[in-house]
Amino acid sequence: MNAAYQTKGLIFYRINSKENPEVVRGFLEKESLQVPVLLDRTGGVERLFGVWVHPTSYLIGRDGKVRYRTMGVADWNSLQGTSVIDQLLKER
Amino acid sequence: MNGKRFFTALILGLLLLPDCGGVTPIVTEKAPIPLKQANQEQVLAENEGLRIVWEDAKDVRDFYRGGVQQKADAEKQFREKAYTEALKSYRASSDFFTKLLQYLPEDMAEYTLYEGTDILFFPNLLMADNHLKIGLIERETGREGPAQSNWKKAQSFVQKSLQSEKTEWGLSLEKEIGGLLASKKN
Repeated sequence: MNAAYQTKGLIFYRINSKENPEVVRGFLEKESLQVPVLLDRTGGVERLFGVWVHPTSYLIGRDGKVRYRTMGVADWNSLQGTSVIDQLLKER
Repeated sequence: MNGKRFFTALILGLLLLPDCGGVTPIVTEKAPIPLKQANQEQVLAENEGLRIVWEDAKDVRDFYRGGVQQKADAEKQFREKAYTEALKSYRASSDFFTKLLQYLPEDMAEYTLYEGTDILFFPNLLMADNHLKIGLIERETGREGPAQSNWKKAQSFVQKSLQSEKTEWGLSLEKEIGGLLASKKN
């Protein structure tokens, strides 16, 4: 999904909060997703976004504003997920 | 026969209860949570960041965050004596807290967001402070009646807060409100 949408202008990041980088590295070695992981070592990013459920996904528009938020595991490959992304990508 | 048994059980019960058996209960008064551990500045800092707008607030956590963020704006406007804007922000803040308090009516010094992350959760105390400040603005603009009415509401919220979590912050607010109520201008 990452590869398919990257060419259309969507960038995915995963943010890990307050975990040891070694633990994150160990986790990444076991999975095949090619999505960059950013380390929020102090939990500052999480605090600023007001996260209280893991995972929480945010879709940020071209204007830099948060347009969607989902709490819990979200299936972005689902029809609902892709239609939300497609709709945002149409905006200029 | 049953009546005799009942009275025997009642007398035994009364004797076994510490208060009725002549034993003075030991009441340990819990010390209030120090101001440096729970205070308004800390609450405002914990909720900085992504803005919550009323239309998008869905969860109780959103309503708390939204209320605190509006309060942060109000505090700044109050310091700058921008009273009209401050009143708007205090009322918007109180709207968020009012909604939240329908679901979570108690203040907590350690509200667990998720494992390992706690926040200060003081909707009652923040509501009290909103009413305190609204009252101060009302007095400043010569409206003593509404000022007193707001301070009475503030007092009620402080009491609710202190019942659930005793804090130095709450006690000092209680004292301040008490002083304002006693200083009624005619």
